[in-house]
Amino acid sequence: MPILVPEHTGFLFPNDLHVSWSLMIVMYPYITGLVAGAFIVSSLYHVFGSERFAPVGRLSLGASFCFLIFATAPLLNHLGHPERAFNIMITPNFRSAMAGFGILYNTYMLILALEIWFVWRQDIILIARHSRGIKRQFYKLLALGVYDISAEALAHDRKATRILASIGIPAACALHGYVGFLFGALKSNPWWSTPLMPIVFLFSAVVSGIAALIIMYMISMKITGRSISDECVDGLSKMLWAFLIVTLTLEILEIVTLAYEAAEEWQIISSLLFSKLSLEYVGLQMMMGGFVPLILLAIIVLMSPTPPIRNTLALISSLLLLVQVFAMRWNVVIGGQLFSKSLRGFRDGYQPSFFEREGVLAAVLILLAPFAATLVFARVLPLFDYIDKQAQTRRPGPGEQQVPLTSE
Amino acid sequence: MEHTKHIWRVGILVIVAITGFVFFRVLLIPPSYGIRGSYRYDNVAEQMAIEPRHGEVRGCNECHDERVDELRAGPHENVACENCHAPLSTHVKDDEKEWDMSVNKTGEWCVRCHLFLPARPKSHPQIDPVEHLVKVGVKQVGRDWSDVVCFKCHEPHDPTPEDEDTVASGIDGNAK
Amino acid sequence: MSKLKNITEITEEARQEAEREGRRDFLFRLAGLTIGGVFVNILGSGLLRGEAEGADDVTPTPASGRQGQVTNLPPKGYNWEDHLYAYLIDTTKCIGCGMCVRACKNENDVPDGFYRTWIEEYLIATNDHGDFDVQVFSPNGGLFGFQASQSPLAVSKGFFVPKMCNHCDNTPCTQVCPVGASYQTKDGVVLVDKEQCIGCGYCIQACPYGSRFLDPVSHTASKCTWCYHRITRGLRPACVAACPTGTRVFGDLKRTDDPVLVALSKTRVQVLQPNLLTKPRCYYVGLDLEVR
Repeated sequence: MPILVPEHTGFLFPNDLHVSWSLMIVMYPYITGLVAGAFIVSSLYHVFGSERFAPVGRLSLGASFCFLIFATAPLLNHLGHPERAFNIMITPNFRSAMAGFGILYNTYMLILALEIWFVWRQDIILIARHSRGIKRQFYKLLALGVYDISAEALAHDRKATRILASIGIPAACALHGYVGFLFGALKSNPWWSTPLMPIVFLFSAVVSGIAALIIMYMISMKITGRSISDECVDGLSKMLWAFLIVTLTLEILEIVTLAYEAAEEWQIISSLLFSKLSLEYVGLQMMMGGFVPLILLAIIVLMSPTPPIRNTLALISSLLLLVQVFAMRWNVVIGGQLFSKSLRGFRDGYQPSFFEREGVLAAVLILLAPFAATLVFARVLPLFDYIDKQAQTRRPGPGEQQVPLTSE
Repeated sequence: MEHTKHIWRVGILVIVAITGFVFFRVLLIPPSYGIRGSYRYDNVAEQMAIEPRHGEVRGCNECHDERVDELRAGPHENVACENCHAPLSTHVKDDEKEWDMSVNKTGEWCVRCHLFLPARPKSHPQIDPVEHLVKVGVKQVGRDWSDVVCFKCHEPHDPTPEDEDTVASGIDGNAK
Repeated sequence: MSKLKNITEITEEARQEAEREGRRDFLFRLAGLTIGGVFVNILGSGLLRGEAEGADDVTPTPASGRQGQVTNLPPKGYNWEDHLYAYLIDTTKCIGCGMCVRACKNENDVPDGFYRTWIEEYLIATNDHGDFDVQVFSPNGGLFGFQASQSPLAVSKGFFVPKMCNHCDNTPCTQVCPVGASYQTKDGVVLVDKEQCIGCGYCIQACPYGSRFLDPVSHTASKCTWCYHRITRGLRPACVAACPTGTRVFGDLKRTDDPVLVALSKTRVQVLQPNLLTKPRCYYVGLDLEVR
């Protein structure tokens, strides 16, 4: 009898022995979550004009864009036929929640790209003016051949940015709420099928986005030798704390409701969470990733510690929260596949191997790619320097040709 | 409005991109997609065109009608030929015999249906093989069921043994 | 809405005419270039599901040379509007021989370790707490039959339950397919187009019965087709043909003398997980409450 059966306990439907949504499907909501979270921070600055977030205004946009580019990478790596991926836009079946992906993703990409263009347009033109050769041509192309940086034009840019950012907030919510909906709308799986799912996904996305932004901000300040803005870190920490409270409340409410209802599915879900996934759920998602940062952030908010202590606390809680959100994605995606739809048995866990196509190495590379892309982005479009100041005080270097690109 | 040239330019670019996408999308839709719904209608015909492998009894009847009649007359009347023999497509090609038909005559195969199992309906004839062989006085062949031991008393096309005593002592319809 | 529908119909007519003239690809694509065509294509293919009511061509005609291995074509006269298939499983008759699983694997090249149909063995015993202990087995889906039970239970009730795709009328699986690779035919069969499937696995998650799997060879979703290639030729599904006890009955609800129709109208039947309202067209007789 040649058929190998994976380890399991209890009775599984024979086709349920396989975890068909792998680590890659954990990565996908994780990365889109970072996109949505970072974008919402950038909107606070661009729409609501919170000046305290000005230092991360550009970083958050750039990071959001870079994460968005790689949001499809885990999906493509997971598909049985990645070469047919465009079928989702060529022949969409709109009864499927997943068919909306093409439209949502591209709409959001468009909004983000346009907003970035309007925010950086002045810089693009100034860089073009102060450079030569291929670089000059490249920036001229980026400017789309219009070199108008008069006060009126810049005012239009600001207005466009504000409009785009305010469209972007619902778009970001839609993009990520939709990811939660993909899981929440499956009546076949009692662990996924809850209307809370999109909301939980959305709030934990914002948490992970802010956390990633705090980390990226601190690291880039360290690298570029700038000083960390107290106001900004303080504001981000407070926001992180608030969103974390909501996220944890929702996550706990979901479980409490299920436990209190104690319907058919609770039997399998309780043993899933408290025995199969006790480390990932109780340990990582709730204790280490949830309550510890909650306390650390509360210290920042309530006790106003000195900046070095505050920065350390913020950094530690951000790192823990990145783990928390990842654990949450893991517990939803993988957890939902560990038990059989027979509700009578479990697989004995799922450990992706290191080198396989959908393995750990691929996941690490896909997660690092947006950070690398952000570095590239920073070289093309400056994330922290306000070029108008720099360019106007700076003299052209000896090899630089200063040909004015004026408005035609 | 003055100083809005760049906005017009990027706007046109966006419109061109969207139109371009819509245009190329139309070219890429499979020809039969959407005729009857959101699927490729040609696939229905593709599914229908797959060649069946099991011929069912009517396939066997073409050449082996007396064997089929024999089977039909006995308690194995509902057992498909292809269960113990092989699918028709391993035997016949283009209505001609191409390969020899294989058959499984092992005791293992017989007990697949007639082994006593608590989940089997009580009315179905089933045995504890070791006990059964002792009862009917066939020499113990050990645990190896690859032998054609069952055929000593039972002819598979008409499996009721001729000796009525064997029937009484051997098969217990309400086993255990 | 009505305007859109009109455009759909007009385009549809134009398309069919073009098809008859053998210039379909070219003309269809040309028509698609007009703004109206584009609009209809976007909406029509998905939202409106562009179904032409008055279409004369009801017999699916095989695509030319798409699948090289295909030789023998199904009968020309097959009209899928004339059939509505249904399936009846009488669990009181099943002996768990697993011939159906074996026949299915042989007929459909089902890959090892995956099952288009399988058999579950339920062994139930009373315990000291006035409750029941339930054990369920399905070794290799029943492909090699069942061995004598290793269960320590003193079994008071035991039965086999064959399972397969329920070919639901309200299918959760085709609903979620993002690319229209999975669909329901007019004669009530749920199929997967392996040329169109992107292998995302969403349908596998959406099926509450565990009937679908990702084929490790084609990397596309796969499932029971009720042997669509057989039933459209007037043969029975391989599992039904292989069943020695009459547990599995295949029928066509549009025939008045149909055994399944008769059974549905005269006996008490059940479906699996009726609370999900998937409206299975696979009916069960003698189902126990432990079966999900």
